[in-house]
Amino acid sequence: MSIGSALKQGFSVARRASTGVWILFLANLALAALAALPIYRDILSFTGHSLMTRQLLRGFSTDWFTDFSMAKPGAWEGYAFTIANVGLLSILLNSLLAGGVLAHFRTPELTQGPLDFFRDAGRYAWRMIRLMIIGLIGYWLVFLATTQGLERLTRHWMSEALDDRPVFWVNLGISAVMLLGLLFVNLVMDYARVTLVWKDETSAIAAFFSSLGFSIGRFGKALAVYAVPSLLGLALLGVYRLVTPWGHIQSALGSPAWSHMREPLILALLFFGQQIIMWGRYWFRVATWASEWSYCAGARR
Amino acid sequence: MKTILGLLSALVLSVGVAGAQTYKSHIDHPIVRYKMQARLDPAAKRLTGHYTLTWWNHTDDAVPDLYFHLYLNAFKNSDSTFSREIALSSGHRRSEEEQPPEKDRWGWVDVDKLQIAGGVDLTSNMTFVHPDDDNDRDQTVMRVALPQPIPPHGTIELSVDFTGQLPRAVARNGFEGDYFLMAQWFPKIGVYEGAGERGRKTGGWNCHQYHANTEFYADYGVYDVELTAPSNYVVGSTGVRLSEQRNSDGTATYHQYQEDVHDFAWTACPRFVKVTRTFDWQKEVSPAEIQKWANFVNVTPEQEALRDVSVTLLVRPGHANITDRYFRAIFNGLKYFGLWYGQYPYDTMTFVDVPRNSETCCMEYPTFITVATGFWPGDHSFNPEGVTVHEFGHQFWYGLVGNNEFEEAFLDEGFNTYSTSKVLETAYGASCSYERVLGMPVASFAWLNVPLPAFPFAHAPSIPVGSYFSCVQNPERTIDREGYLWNAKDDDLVRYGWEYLSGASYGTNSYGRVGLTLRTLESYLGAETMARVMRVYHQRWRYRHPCLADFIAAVNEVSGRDMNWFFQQFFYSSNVADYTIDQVRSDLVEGKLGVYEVNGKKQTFTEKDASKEAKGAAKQYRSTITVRRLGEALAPVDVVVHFDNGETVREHWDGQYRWTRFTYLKSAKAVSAEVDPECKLALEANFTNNSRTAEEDNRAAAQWYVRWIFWLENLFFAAGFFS
Repeated sequence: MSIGSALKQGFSVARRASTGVWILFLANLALAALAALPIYRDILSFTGHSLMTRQLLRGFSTDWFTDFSMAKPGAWEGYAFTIANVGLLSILLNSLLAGGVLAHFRTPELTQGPLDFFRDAGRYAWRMIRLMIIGLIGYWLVFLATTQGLERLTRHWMSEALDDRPVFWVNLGISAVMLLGLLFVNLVMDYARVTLVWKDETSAIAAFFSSLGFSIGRFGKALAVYAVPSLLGLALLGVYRLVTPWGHIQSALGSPAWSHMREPLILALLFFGQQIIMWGRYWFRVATWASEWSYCAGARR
Repeated sequence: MKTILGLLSALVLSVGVAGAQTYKSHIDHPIVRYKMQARLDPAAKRLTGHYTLTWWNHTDDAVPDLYFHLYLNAFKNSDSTFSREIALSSGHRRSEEEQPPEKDRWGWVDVDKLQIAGGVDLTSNMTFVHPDDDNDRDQTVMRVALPQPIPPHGTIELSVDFTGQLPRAVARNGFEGDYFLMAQWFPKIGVYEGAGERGRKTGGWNCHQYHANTEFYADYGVYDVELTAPSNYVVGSTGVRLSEQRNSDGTATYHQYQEDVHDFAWTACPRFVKVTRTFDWQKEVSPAEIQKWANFVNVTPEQEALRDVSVTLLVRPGHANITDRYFRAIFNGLKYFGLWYGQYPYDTMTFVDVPRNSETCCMEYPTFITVATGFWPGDHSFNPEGVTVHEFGHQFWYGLVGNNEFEEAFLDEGFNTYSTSKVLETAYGASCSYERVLGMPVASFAWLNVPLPAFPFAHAPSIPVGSYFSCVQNPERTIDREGYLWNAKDDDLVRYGWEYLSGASYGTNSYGRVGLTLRTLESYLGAETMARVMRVYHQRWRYRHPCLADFIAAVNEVSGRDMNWFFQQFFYSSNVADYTIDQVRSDLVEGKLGVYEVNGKKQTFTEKDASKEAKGAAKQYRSTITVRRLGEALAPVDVVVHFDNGETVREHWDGQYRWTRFTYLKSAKAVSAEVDPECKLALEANFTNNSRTAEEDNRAAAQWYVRWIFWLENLFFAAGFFS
C-alpha cells in the first residue's frame, strides 16, 4: 500500500473516530486542570487581594514571582512533584485508552459510543499495560545509552575543552541521537499497538517484535505514515503561537475596571481557542494510529 | 656572519605598535613606581621577573618596615588561609572529578632576592606574617624589616628578583592549556595608611592575607613593564604598548606602560584573535546628550566631555560572531559611565574573551578586564553585555576610586552593581530570560522544573515548564532581589570580606544587596540628586582610597539632608524591610444606636431607629486602612488610598512603630490602599503585600490557570508519547 493511500484512508477513518478523540482529549484536560488547580488556588490566595493582580494580568512579573517564591518556600517544588506524578498517570491512562481507540478501526463504519469505547479499552487493557512496560524498557535503554553512555564518554573531553563550539555540537549530536532513538522506539510501539489489536494478539512481546520487524523491513514508508500526521499535530502549536493575539488579550484583561462581561468572555475565548488546538492535536494522534492501521492492514494482506 | 645575523634579528622592530600616548598623569607624586621585566615559560608554567620599585612614604610617620602581598602563595598548598576557607565554605574549588593533576594544582611566588637598590641585601630580613588569623602556614603576606626607617615623605628604592609558579587556573589566575592569565603575579607592596586616612587613628600597614572571599588593595603609581613570551603568543595587558621586539630565541618582548594605576595584569595565548577599534566619543555622544547629561549631573559641558579610547579585544576563535556585541558593550560602558561619573581617563582598554573552563573570568584590572560568553547567547540575554559592562565599570569603582577590597568590598562591587544596572537599563532596556532547548537559546521563563524519575528517564534533565517563545523581562531595578532575600539575615552589609558567614553571604552583601540599597537611596533622594552625589563622590576620590564614611559624607553634603538614618538601617544592619497593608475596610455609618443625651435627657435609640435615620440621610462610610511593619528595617513610607468615586488620598507615615491606622469619613468607600506606591524600597521583602483591595480580584489567577492548563495539557500529551 502506498503512503498516500494509507494516510488518506487513515484520515477518513479518523473522521469517524470522534468518540476516541473526545475521550482522549477530555481525559487529558481533566488531568491538566487537576494538576494546575493548586497553582490557581495559591495564586488567588496570595494575589487576589493585591493590586499586583493588575500587573500579572498585563503579563508576567518577576517581582511577583520572587515574592511568591519567598512567601511560599518549596511551593514550586511541590507543584512540580504533583505534575510529575500526574504525568506518570497520564502515561498509564493513554495506554489504557489506546485500546478503545484502535478497536474502532476494525469496524470504522459503525458508530462507537462511550460505552463501546470503554468496553474495548477494558478488553485490551492488560495487554496494553504489558506492551507499555516493554516500551518503557526501550525508552530507558535509549536514555541510558545517551545520558549515561555517550555523555559519560565525552564528559572528560568536554570538561577539558577550552572552545565551546565543538562542545555545543557534541551536545547537540547526543540530543539528536537520543531523539532519534526515542522516535524509533515510539514508531515501533505505535505499530505494536496496532498489531496487538488488529491481529488480536495476546502476547505483547510477540506484538512488539512483529512490529519491530515490520518497521525495519518497511522503514521508509512506516516512518512516513507515522511522521506526517504527527508533524501536522505538532504544527498546530506553531499555528497557535502565530495566531493568538497576546497583545490584545493582555491589554484587554489589564484594564483597571472590572467588567462583568468583557474579561470572562476574553478568558473563555482564550480557553476555547486553546482547547481547539488540543482537540486538533488529539485528532491527529488518532489519525496517526488510523493511518498506521491502514498501512499495516494493506501491507500484510 | 652569525654575529651580524644575530644583531640583525635582535634589532628593535617597531611593528607600528608604539602606543599613541595622550595620557597626562593626574597624580603629582605616585606612591609606587615599578620598572619590571618578566618572562613567561609556558612549558614550565613559570614566571621569572625582576623589578625596581621606588616607594614613597606619603605620611608623616617614619616607616620601619615594608609589607608585601604574595598572592600566588594562596595556591601553594592546602594550608593557606585561602585553601582552608575554600574547604570550609564549599569543599574544593573544583569538584573531585575536575581537580587538575597534582603537578598542575599548586602555585606560588618566591622572592629570590630583595635589596635596597645599590645597597643592603634584605633577603634574610623577610618573614611571613599573618595579620588576620592564627595561620602560621599562610605565606601571602611578607614583612621586611628595614635597617633604618624610611623618614616621613622619604623614598626607598628596592631591587627585587622573583619567581612565580602558575597553577592550573583557579580564582581567576593561572593557565589552562596554552592560555595564561597572570594576575597578582608579582610581590606587590602593601598600602601604608597614615593617621586620618580611612578613619585611622594611627598610621600602619593595611596588608591583609589573601582570603577565599576577598580581592585586593594597592597604591596608585607607575607600571613600566617589559613582558617576554614566545613570539607566537598574543599578549595583552594593562597599559599602552610602547614597543614590541622580536628576540633571537623565538620570544618577543612587549614594553607596556601605564601611570595612575594600582595593579598590572596580563595574558598570553597563541590562539587569540586581536581586534582593535576606537571609541570615537564625538561619534558616540551627540552635543545634545552632552548638554542634557551636564545639566543632570550639574557640571559644565566641558567637564562632561569624554575622550577617544583605543579598545582592544582578544577574542577566542569561534566567538567572532560576538565581537560586535562585545565592542558595543564596552562603548556603552565608556559612554555612560563617562557621562555619569566623568570621562574614562586612559588611552587604552583591553578586554579578554577567556576560554571556557578557564576559571579566569570575570575580573577587573586597570585598563584590562576578562569577560566570557557562550557559543550562542540569546539576543536579549545580556550575555555578554552584562559581564562586559560590569567588568568595565570596575575601571570606575576599584580602578579610579581605589577602595580597600579586603575591608569594604561593597564599595566597589556593590557600587558597580548599581552603576552597571543603570547603564544596562539606559543602553539596552531590560533583558529577557532564556532556556536552552537542544543547546539553542529560546526566550522563555520556567516557573518550575518537573523532575523525571530514574525509570524510564535514566537521569535525563528535568523539564522546565513556563512560557516559551516570549520575552519575560528582568527589570534591572530589582535584579538580585531574590538572591538578597535568601541570604538577607546572614550578615550585616558592612563587614570585612573574610568575615561573612559564607561565600553566598559575601556575594549578596557585596553585590546585589548594595545595588538594591543604592537604588533605594536613589528613590529617596531623587534620580538627579543621586547622580550628583555619585559624581561628586567619584570625582573627589579618584586616585585615592575612600571608605564608607566618605560616601556618607558626600551623600549628606550634596543632598543637603541628614541621611545617616538610611545607612544605619540598610548598611550597618541585616534588617529587612517589609511594609504591608493589613486591612482595607469600609463600614456604612448607621444612625444612633444605644443611649444618647438628647436635650439634656437620656434617650434610647433602637435598631429600628438607627435604620430609619440611616435611610433618611446621605450614605456615609467610615473607612479604615491599617498599615503594618512586618520587617525590622525602619523607613518612612507613603500610603495612598483609593476610593470608589475616583478620589485618592496620600498619607505619610514615619514607619517607626509596628502599625498605624488611617480613618476616613466619606460618602465613598475605600476600594484599595498601597504602602510605598512608588516602590522606593527596592529591598522590600514582598511587593505583593504592599497593596490591598477591599474586594478579591481573581482575574490574574484565572488567566494564569487557563494558561497553566494549556501548558500541562501539552506536557501530558508529550507524556503520552511514552505510553
